[in-house]
Amino acid sequence: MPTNNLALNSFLGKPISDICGNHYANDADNHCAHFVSHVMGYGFGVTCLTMFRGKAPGANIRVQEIFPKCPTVGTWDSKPQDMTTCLVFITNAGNVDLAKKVMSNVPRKHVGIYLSGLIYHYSNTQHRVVQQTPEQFSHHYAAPDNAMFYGSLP
Amino acid sequence: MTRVWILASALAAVSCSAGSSSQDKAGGTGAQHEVRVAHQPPTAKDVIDAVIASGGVALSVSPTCNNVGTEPSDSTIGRYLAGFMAELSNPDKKNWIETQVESGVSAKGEPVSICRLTLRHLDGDDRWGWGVQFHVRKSDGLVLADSFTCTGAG
Repeated sequence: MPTNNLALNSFLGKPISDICGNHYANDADNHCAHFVSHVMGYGFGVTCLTMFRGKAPGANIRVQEIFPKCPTVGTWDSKPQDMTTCLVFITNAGNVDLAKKVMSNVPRKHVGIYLSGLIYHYSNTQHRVVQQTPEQFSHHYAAPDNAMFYGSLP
Repeated sequence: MTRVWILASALAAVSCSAGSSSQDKAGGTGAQHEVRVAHQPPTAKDVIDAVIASGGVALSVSPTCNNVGTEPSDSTIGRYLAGFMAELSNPDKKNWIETQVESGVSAKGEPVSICRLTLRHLDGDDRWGWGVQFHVRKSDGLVLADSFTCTGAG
């Protein structure tokens, strides 16, 4: 599990085919949760190994399954200042029930890794890992699908 | 696009008609009747037809279908797929239905056709492919209701 920017930087520019040893790498699929899970080692729930036979460790591929695994969640604005590493989610606020820690499986939802002021995530348009500031990330979807949430690391 | 909406309407109709029954059969497949395909191996049309006819199968059929609905209250394959079809309404975006059929063996060792239907959407980073996979028994064309799994990532 990378704990510094240098380690995460090693993923920048890579397509999911270079990251997933199970060859679950169709560009028509959404790989945001898939990337985060391979980097962080999240093997719970539905994984790339569930969908595709392979020999590498499976990594979760669904945002709505990662969200409830976070010990604490909240709006991005309420993220504790001393939390320098966490997951960051973006979707319509109406799709999220913070009290129940539930995110619906709606189309426009995305997840990345926040580390020391930067967000690392998989761009499904560019087919590679990119790095953005939280402000840049907030434009990933147009309003009203751009509410941001933090989740402490599962 | 017209075809997509016909499919959406049909699935919604199946889901509505089977709604109360499938709720009552929580924990089971909720299948209302046996479904058989018209050809062996199943054609793309057969795969779509089988999914429409199986709209009442409960999402509890597989852990892969846990929380896949676009609304937390979604409880059947029909409601799950209808939720994503409802997202295909913009004529300026790219949407398509993907079907795949390959030979395999069921959990009981029977020769089957492994069928997959995926609804795909492409609009920049709003990119996804959600669907189902199920088995059709080769000996008699029966759709094995308890074989349904939910596919998709993001």
